[in-house]
Amino acid sequence: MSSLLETDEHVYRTCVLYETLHSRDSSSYFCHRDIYDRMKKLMPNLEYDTFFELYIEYSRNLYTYRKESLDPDVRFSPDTKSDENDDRAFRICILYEVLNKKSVKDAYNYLRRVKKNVIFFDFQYWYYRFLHGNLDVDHDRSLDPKCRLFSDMPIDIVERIVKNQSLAEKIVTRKVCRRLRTVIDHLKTDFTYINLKLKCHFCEIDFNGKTVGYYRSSPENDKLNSAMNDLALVLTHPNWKFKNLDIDFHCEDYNPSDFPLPQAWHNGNHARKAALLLNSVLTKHLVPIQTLKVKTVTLFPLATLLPHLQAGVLESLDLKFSSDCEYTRDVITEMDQWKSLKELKMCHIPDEFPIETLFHIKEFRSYECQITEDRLVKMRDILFKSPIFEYCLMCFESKAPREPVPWESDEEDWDMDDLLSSVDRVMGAHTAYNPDGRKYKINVSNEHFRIEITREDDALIFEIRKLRD
Amino acid sequence: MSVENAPVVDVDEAAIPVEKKMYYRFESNDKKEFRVSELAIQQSETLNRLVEAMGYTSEDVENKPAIAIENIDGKTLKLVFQWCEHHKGEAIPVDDGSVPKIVEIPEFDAKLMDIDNGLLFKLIWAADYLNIVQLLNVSCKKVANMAQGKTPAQLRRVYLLPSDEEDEAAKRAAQEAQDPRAREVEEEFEERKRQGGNSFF
Repeated sequence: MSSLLETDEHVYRTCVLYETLHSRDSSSYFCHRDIYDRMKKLMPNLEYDTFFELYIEYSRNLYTYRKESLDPDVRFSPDTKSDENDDRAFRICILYEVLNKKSVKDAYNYLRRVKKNVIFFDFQYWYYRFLHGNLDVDHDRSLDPKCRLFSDMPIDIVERIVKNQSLAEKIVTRKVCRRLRTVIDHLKTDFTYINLKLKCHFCEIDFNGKTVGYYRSSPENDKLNSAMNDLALVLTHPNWKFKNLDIDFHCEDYNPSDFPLPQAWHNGNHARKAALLLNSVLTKHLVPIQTLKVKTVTLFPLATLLPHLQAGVLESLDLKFSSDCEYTRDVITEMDQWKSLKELKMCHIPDEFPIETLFHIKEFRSYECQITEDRLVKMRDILFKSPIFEYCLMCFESKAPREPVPWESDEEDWDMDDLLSSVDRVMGAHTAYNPDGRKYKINVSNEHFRIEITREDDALIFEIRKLRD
Repeated sequence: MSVENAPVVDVDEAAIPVEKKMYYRFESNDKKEFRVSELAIQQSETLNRLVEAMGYTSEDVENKPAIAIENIDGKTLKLVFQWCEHHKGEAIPVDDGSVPKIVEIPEFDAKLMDIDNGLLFKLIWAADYLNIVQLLNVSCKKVANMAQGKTPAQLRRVYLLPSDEEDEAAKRAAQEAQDPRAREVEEEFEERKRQGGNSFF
């Protein structure tokens, strides 16, 4: 570089202009000393006075004539129209970045800050040419052997390339152009899960281990459309198969004190909006997934999503919700998708929830569910009518009796005793019930139901299990 | 003809059996010559079959003209043979068209492929043409990795691919350029529109 400087004044002046543009871009007018030090390392003969004179001149006239030019002669002259000079200046700037030991990515981003229309392919060509020791900025590219482009690649190589990509990368790549879209769509891909997390100001989709964030760039552009389109694409793609879908609609847990956002950015109905968008993009589709996990405030998103999942294929549902609506709940429990479930996990079963609707499922568990006499009656009445049901577990909070002290009699477990006597009383009304061992004999079969009530710290656990005699 | 007499990578003589110590001469399409060890050639199915079919002796290798590889230039071929020399003797994966689930790019390969996209694409072409399975795997992985953390617009810049709209526009322009009658009709239509006519017919 120093030899270039000695022989070519254009190189030196271009570098000063390039640095001046950056110094103004970063709104720091007084960093010329740093620039000088940096340039001095590459150009040992550089005089401070000469540098400073040029720096001031360029700073004063920075916005005259051609805004994006990197060549001082082109930039500050109303007559110079030649782009040839500017191309040379562009190459000098790349050489300058290479000598400053910037990575290809940093150098490209840095150059684009002062010249927006830089073509990456051209930039990269020169960057690597200089990096490998060919410092001739006047090299004629037309003398090079014919360059191969990505678009020249045979289809089987393009296939090989995209097969190496993760699902998230495939989604981005297929948006590049029609040809790539055709190649990617043609490939069969199996993967395990998709996890959508909705927050009130952004959403994230974890595509089988790679997370893509969809962040709002403005209150109007919340990227939700684009997120739902990407999700729908994966869900409905005929050649992409997966088993688990996990959606977190619980976006109301935003705490303004943690992360203050302008009011316009809040969207209390983000979950509702997302559910409606999904509903529209999934119209006429039945998605064959096996397990679904939904975390939501209301049941509305589940009621919207469930009809688009293939009944019979959907086997397991893990549901967490906090607010119940009788109408929505009834709609869901009437759906084929709900009725054909084999496994259900509900974190909380509200008091009004009709417990009998759960007994068509092979196995269900709930970790927050009150067992009242009314519920026991409903369980008793449905138990023999469901041929599929095999196991259920319901927990509810009950304070454990304190440790007995030696001079007092053992403290009794009132909650446990109450539940046991309720079970015996209600279930005992059925002729098939045997209070010894709390068993129900199933007619014309060698099976029976067994009821077990146990305590685990501050929780009582109620289980019904189908067993062979 | 420029001759690069030295082997692409120094050969560890102790590691290679005496009967394998033969260097074939290859010539690129821009007349650059390379000497490559027999063991390194085994990485390329195409070249390996070729030299087997030729049945050259040590004298033939020296006396007969270098084997011409007409589709590949010297710059690319140098990278290919550097790779083959470095990986000589390593097991060659079976190419059944499928891509291994996990392709890791070794440090040497990463350094070798620290080149501009144009040259990288040529390297992929060469690996495909010469049937060097592992080089094809790592170079394709390198191109696949370019998509990491990029938007479609950024990827278009990296791969230098047109968007669908640009592609359509280019096709239309090409069609119009090929069919002068279409252009005439278009011009006539525009002229009639300017004159205030409502219908072309």
